[in-house]
Amino acid sequence: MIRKTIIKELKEIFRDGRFKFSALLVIVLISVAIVIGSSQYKSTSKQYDISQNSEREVWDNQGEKNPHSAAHFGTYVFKPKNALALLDQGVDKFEGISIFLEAHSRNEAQYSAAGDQTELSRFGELSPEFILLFVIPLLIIIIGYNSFTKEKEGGTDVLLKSQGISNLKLTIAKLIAVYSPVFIICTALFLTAGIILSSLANYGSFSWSKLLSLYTTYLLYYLVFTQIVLLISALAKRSGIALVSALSFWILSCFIAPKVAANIAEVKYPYPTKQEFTNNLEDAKKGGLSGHNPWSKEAKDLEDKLLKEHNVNHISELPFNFSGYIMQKGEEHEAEVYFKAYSKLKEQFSNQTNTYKTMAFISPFLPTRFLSMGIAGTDYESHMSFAEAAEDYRIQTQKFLNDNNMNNSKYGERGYKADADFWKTLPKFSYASSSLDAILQLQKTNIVALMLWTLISALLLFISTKKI
Amino acid sequence: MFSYNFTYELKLLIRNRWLPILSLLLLISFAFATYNGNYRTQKRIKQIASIEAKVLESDANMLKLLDSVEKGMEVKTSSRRIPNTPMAVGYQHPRAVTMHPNGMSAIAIGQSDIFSDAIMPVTIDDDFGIDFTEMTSSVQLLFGSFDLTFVIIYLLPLLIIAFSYNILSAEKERGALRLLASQPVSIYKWIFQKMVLRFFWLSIITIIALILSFVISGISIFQTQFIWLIGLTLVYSLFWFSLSFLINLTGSSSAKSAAYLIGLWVFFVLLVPSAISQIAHNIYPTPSRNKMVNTIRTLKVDVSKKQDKVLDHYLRDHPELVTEKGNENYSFWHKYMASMDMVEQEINPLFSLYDEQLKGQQAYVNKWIWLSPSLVINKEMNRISGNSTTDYQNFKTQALAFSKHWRNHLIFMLYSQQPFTTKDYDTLPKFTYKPLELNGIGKHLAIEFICCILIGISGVYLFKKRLQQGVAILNN
Amino acid sequence: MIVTNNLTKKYGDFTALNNLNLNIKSGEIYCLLGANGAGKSTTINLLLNFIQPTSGTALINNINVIKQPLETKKYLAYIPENLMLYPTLTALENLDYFSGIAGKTLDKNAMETFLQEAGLQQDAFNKKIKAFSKGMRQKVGIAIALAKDAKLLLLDEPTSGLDPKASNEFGALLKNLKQKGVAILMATHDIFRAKEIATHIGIMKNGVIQHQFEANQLSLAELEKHYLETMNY
Repeated sequence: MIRKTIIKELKEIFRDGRFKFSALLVIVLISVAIVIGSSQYKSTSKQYDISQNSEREVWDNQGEKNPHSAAHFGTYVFKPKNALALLDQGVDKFEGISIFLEAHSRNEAQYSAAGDQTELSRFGELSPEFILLFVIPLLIIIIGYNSFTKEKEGGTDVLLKSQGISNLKLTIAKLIAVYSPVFIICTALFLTAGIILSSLANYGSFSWSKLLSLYTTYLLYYLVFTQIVLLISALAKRSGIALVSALSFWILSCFIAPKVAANIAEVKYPYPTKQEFTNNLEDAKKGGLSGHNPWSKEAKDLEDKLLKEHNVNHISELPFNFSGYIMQKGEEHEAEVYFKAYSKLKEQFSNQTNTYKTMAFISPFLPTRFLSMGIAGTDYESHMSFAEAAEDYRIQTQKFLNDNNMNNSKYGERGYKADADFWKTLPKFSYASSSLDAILQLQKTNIVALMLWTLISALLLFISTKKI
Repeated sequence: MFSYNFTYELKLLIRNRWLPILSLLLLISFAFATYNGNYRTQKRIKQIASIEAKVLESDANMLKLLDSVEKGMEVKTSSRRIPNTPMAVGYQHPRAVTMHPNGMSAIAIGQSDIFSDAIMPVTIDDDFGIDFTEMTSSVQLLFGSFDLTFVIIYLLPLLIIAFSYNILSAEKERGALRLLASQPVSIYKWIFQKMVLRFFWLSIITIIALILSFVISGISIFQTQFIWLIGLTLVYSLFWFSLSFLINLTGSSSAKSAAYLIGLWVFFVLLVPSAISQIAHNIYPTPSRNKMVNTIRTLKVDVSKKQDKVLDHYLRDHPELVTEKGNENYSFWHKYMASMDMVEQEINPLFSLYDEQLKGQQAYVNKWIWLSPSLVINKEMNRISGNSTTDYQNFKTQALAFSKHWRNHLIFMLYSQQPFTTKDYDTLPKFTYKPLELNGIGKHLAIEFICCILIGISGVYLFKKRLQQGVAILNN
Repeated sequence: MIVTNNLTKKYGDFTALNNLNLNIKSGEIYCLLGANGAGKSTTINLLLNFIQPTSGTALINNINVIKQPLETKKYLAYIPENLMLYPTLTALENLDYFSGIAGKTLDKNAMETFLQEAGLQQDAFNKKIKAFSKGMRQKVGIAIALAKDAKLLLLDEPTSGLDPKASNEFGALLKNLKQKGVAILMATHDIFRAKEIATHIGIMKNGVIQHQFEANQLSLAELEKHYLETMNY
């Protein structure tokens, strides 16, 4: 009985001009998006390798140089592109792609893609995520809005019931019928993406298990939408009203809720402005040790402490060069200042994140959005983890350079230069994206929210269709 | 007929609660959107004020120190920090380079969450050393703001669609159309009047909601731009009403009409803009920033290797700076500024490539903007708010020019070997932002208006044809 | 009031109405009898210019329906099979609106008189239409026709779905209108009601009036016999 109904429903769906047109449109859009996406992806990651190597070459071939000059000369690290960014770019285009690592300051990642584009790019791009998150739910609405209302309008509902099909079976059949075209499109899309990604060379970060989790996320998201669209269709008296209500739900959860959440988060937990942030940093740095200011009170205190420790009368008698030591201590103080400032920023962000999580209960879009970019490694947390790895590397590099200065130069020696080969001994920067387990751990609330959406919408659907 | 339609349309709209619901929805979304826009504007104003205060404070400090030094008193500051040399001033006492948000800034967040409108360039900053990015949570950037531009471009058409998609089809489906059609009135005139009335009421509500939202947020409504905002909103509404009129006259069922109109919404609001933006980006691709970093790095290494020759080159290019006192007095700063100049000269072509590409994208977008009224309205609202890409590009150009001016002013003093004194303070360059001129809005509005009329006329043509086929009034 | 001249409507190969020649004068009630698809509704739709004829002409009050449809509608009133009005407006408001767009401004007293004349109970005047039965809605329809001072009434299956009492009342109303000189064209299945009120009866099949009588020429039984014979041959 269910099988018969599914076949009948599918026949109706596939004979509908609107479905044919929109399904075709979705497929064309996806193809365009994947073609554009993968070619951009290839060139970006190729350039990433080139840049990384070129920068290292510049670093390695500095020649004889004072280590602190090298510290100011600094080095760049580049953010690798995650394989799954092909499917969901997340916040990537709003985050910088390279970080300049130098002495005394922690720099923000520079050169976001959004900064190089017109304001129109804020409208959205023809990217796979746009289709996955916005367009396919719309397709579900077009397929399913009149699933129940057409029976009511055509009077076939009475006839169906007189034939003895139970409401439960009817609902299940309709659910399967509406869901299956979307299921097929989604499966085809992820399969294509998987094949493209696994065939690209040097796609170290690609993993099938992550792709599978992403796939599951979207399948759940579509299930929620299908159930809600059917629920609306079951409750509405006329197709027109069902369609308008379903669309309102779509607009509300996909367009309005995220923006409202973003504004509430910003008003409740505001970010500092760039100037505020740098001013605070400068003030905090001023009050402490600086390698370039051995005359400050903090420097004198450190000097006294050190003399006592080593039981000598003058810094020239220390077993290492004091200027290198104080440079390192100053660096450590500055790193601490940055750490505190960024921790505060991070706290503010996690407060904002909690606001989004609360709002997740009015929109299935929100948990999906976060889960999706989390798994794809393109969320803010991933960027933060890259920035933190870069900062660790910066601190490590400064110590590496200061130690050389401290142990190889003499007191009062101004023209000390490290060997030309010395630079090559600095370990290379490496960064690996988080494991799937770690990501899922971080995304627990969003997973729960999406599950709840699935369960509750299913429950509501079956309860409401019990007595139609 | 009109007076009857007027009275009864109003009665119907109130009794089926359309007008109250619509008013409430519009007022809430407009007020919330204006609040959000104004929140951002106030944040920016606060930031600019704090920067300006900081400059005032640092200037007062500088003048006090200079005064002491000139009077021969002993100062406790380390010698590097005493502002009696041009380089110390240039490095430690930068000017505030700011772009004040205009009175309508609240209507569109635009690019103001990506770019900063307050910077303080110092003499050692080269063009690529100045960071114009603002600090905003990237999630917020991703989701975008709930501002007036969003409400007007995205939500208003949906409300209009919900408000008008079934004017004809509902009558037809209920069966009242037959009775109407047996009266001596022409049906498309009748729908036209209904549309006009709904447009009229929506306009009244929109204007009131806009005024209230502005008043609540404490923004003045007595600005010319406010009239433009209302004009843009009304013409954009008219566009959607005329589309709805057209779809109504095709005589489709309510569900079909709603589907068609939503299809048009997706097309005009989502697909066309993202497609144009995508194509613009593909035609004028941004060169790799990573590659740029590589080039700059290599260049800097090259320049530092020929450090000795750099100054000679520099002086050859700038003979006005050569003093009679001879070259032996050239300090670290002379060399530093000279090599900076050289790097800058080499990199500028590469650097301006980004601006060129961005301009190319913008020009391309402007060319195709007529494909969707949403784009036109978006552009105009962004322009009015002064927060468009072009505005920030304009600010960037002026800021960089000022930064160069500031640097050259002090370098000239550096080479003329004169100390910096209290008298020189008054001659320091100051930055004032010159906003872009706002013209052509009226022309764009007129073009949009003509489009609306054309859509309306094609609707009537279609309906007349259907009347002849006999499918307009009876169910097909 | 109605004169049609070889009025024909074809949909492709199918002929819905074939060379119809009707002449209905003021004070006549013409009942069109026939099965579904006989061409009754097509006739009415053509007279209302809802559809346009393939050939032939139709005149209402000597005005050409095809050339000046809006002009002819000043003289006619139409009550469709399932008369729908604005559910959230009251009977008086519906009457006011429909008269208004037809160009008649009426005061409240006049409207109440029309509603009364149409047989609507006084306490229903200010009730919203959504609570009305089909019979009550039809009375409002008649009131609209009265208010318009229509010289011609076009009725499409007006009695289907009415209970016998309401149907009887409706018949009385039509007779009353006939007295006033209104011409009425009514398409119906209801032989009994047709015999009772009609002055002329036409039996239609395949788009052609097969038989035409004056109502008083024959008894109800004869009419039924004729009808069934026409349908069966």
